[in-house]
Amino acid sequence: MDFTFSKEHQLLRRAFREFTEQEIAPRIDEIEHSKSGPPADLMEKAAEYGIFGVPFPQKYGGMGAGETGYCILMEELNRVSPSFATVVGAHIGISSMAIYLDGTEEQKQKYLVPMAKGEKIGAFALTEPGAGSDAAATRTRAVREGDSYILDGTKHFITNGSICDVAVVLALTDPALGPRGGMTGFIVESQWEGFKVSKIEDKMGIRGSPTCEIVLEELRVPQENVLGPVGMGFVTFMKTLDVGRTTIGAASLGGAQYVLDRAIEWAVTREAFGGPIAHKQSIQWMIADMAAEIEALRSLVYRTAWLVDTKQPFSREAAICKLFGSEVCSRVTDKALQIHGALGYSRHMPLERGLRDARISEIFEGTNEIQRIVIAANIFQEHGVRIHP
Amino acid sequence: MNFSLTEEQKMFRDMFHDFAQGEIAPHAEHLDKAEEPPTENFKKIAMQGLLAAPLPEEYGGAALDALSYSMWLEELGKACMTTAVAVHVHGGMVGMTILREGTEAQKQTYLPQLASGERIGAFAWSEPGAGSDGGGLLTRAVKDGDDYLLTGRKAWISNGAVAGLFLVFAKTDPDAGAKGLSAFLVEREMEGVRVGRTEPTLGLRGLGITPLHLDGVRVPAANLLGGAENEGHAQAMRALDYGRMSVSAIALGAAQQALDYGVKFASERVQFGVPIGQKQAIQNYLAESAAKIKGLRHLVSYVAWLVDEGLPYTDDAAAAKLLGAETAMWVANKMVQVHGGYGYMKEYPIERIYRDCRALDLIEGTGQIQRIVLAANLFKPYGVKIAA
Amino acid sequence: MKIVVTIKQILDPSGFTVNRKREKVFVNREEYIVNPADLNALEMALRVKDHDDETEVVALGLGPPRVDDALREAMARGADSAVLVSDPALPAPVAQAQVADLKIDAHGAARLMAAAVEKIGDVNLVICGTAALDSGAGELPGRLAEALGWPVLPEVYAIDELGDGVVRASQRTARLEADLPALLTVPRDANEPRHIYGARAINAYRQWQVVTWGLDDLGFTPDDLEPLTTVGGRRFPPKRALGTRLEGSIEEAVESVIAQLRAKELIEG
Repeated sequence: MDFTFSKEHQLLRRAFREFTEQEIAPRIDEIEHSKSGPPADLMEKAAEYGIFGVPFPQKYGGMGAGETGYCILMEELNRVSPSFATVVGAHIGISSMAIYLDGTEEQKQKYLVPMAKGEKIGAFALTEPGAGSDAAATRTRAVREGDSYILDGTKHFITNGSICDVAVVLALTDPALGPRGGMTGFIVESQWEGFKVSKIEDKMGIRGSPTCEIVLEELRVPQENVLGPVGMGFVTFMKTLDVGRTTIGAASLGGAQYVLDRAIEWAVTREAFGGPIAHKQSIQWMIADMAAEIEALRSLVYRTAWLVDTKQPFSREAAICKLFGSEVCSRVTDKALQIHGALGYSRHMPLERGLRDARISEIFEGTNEIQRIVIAANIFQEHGVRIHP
Repeated sequence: MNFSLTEEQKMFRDMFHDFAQGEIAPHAEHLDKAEEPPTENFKKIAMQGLLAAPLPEEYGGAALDALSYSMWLEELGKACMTTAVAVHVHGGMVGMTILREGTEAQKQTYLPQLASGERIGAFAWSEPGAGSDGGGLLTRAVKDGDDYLLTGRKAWISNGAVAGLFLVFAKTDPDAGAKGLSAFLVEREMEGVRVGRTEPTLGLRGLGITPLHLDGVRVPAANLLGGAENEGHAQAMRALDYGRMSVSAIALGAAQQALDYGVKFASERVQFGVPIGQKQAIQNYLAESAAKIKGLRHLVSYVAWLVDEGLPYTDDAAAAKLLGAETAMWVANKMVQVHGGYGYMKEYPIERIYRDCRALDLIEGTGQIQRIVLAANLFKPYGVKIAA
Repeated sequence: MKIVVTIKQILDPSGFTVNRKREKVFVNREEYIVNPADLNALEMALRVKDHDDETEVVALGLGPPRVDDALREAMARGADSAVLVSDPALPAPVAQAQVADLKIDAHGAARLMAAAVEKIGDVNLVICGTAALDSGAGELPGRLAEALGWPVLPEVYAIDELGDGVVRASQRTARLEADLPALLTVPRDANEPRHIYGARAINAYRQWQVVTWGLDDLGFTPDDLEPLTTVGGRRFPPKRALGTRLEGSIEEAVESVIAQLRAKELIEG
């Protein structure tokens, strides 16, 4: 057992802290009010420093920092801007990751390399109006026509939909088989005819990250852009989500630690009834509970990252990271807001945005209800019982 | 024990429901998005005679008993929480306080103006440096001939953006801590009154929450509430008792509305081949919400009954406010979860209700203050005095 | 062009608190950072490299083994290689100057670093931060130039021209020129240092090495480093008066400033 971060990961954390505090933090308002994603020059700068390829090997244009490095990135980004973290997370954690996991060498050279360098931005198009938690209900169709597939359907709640160059799309190739052998992944370029952004959602939080509805209308995808074996798309997409879940725990950790730091600062400076409110046990209890949950989350996240990096099974732990992390972040942010009193409710303070932003983590990339099913299924499987949602 | 409503109360309840759903609810989304005070709603409600509903008819009120009033606020809370809180501050925190504490002249001057909506009322207690702690208030009122000169800064004033009458708490005896406070009726047009910019907030975005600057405002002694100095703290505590009952009723409405939206969504949304309401996880969220709401409903009614009977209700109101806020926040939170991704989108009202509900644990005393009130009451029989 | 940038590792000031009453420095977290002005020096070298692929930037540090981290950080920011002068015989860590008594002085440090620069070989330019944040003495660059026998261009904000045996550089108010090799010092407001590149941070530890030279490698014995100066004692710098915070609106604050300036007869009217 060794719980210290390697020297390179310690330096990496400082690199990300420096970047987020000096480049992102001063531009939060701009990011939050943008309907078209973070400002282009900020995206370029992030690309220059390698932010878009953190976990991928350097031979694919990445940083080679592994899942641990990626968790550190998400932790640091989410401290400052969950919107920015969401854009980066959707790009790295699910879209680029799907190509990294199941792409051919040619696909990796053509798509993963420019994505890792931040020259191309990715989106992950799984969810549909009728297929949220129930991804197996995917209706988007892909029909073979010569050397191509023709895609038709609607994907929604797609992060980066309006700013992506590349999207990985799950579609039905054989409706009779459904998720077991009838769904296939495709790599789609957004400039292709038939790829249309039909709506940008107005939402509670992470308002600086575009969430879009995408209509695919007779979109022609060449055969070489099939991601993974034909019929195995559902597996690719589920496997990709598995990897992404750990980093939602990491992002939640960063968000929670940030608001705890703010709450501590406030508790020692704000005076009521003749002294700093830090002297009140109601406040002390809240701070102690927040710290306890955060510390447990930190251990969980980096142990899971270690499982991923050392190629051990991690599905259950990743789902626990996402479930526990998102709920810890919401609880901790709620307490931090409460400690600030009415001031916490103001949009002049980061707690208000923190609460709105944190809330999404309990929903996206599989609601927490789905995580509970994943965890339970994983546990019961060890006892020979199969769980269906 | 009799849990049934009178015929009159039943009639009121139906009327409140129809009016709130028909006239108020359709504008809730706009008020939130535009962050505009509910000016039109004030007018419509005044036309119904419900803007300061619990006031006696002689002052333009509807003479609602507390139970009917809590049903009115519940219905408003279902329709639009911003409007509900605005009406509660206006009629309850300001109107009822003047009725309870004011001189006859003060009542005759201001209550009809409040009832008609000619002046909107605001309760100016909090300051940048003191919210829960009355002893920490810094605003000063200095006697100057027949007048008082008020100087200081107030913060977090609900209705501030549109208020014509501010009930301002200021120190007349700065050495006496909370016991040196007095309340003044300050008109917006008095010289030296300056209303600051509206505070952007998580929710209740149409509430027009502003700071209030008082720069040597000359207030006639006739506007000292009740004509008595250094009574402000006691007056405010009584106002808060009544206000807490009101907020618990709003919380009840909000929680009920959130649950209704959740049940509707769960019965329509199909995943895994069935409406998600068929899943136990969803059923549990709905069932637990219903149980909490049922408990809250009875407590809210009980507090209103205590008020109507003229019995002490300070700790019951604190309990109702505490449970109300926590129930509403809990239910709204779970109902967002029932909606899944849709719950995060502004297209669905649950998104707004969730943000609005968060304020309930902060206004009229945070949850921590309610706990202090309750604890202090528990220790009273043992002669133990609880310092906050 | 080969450029050496001197890198000093100092105690992170955010990790200690200064107790004036007891005249003590309490170290809460012993963490180290690269002296900020040295990052400006590095940035100046990297800007030369940005325009000329042939340029090689070498980070040079002196001190205990932990200075290794500072040099790897310099590589992560863009330096091509790094050299650490470190020897168990060096009696006290230079970087702890503010908490421990110096056993070698700037004269000794400069002579060691000059020897390292010569051993690196073919160096055209040495760039130093004007002064370190900890001691603030700014003594080393001058002594290093003297030990090398090179001209020194102090307080340089930008290099205008470099090549043909000559360096032309701008100070805030003057332009200077000197024959190469030469030494420049760079103040903290000269430029905005670039950040750490993540991939380079990984490589700095996994792929690249810091070359370490001891006294032997540089042809020194401990006796050669007898200090010219010794520290006779320490005291706290005088306390600076804090400003006052003006309350109220902007208009009120401005009026208050004007009133105070009038009262002090600093403005008329």
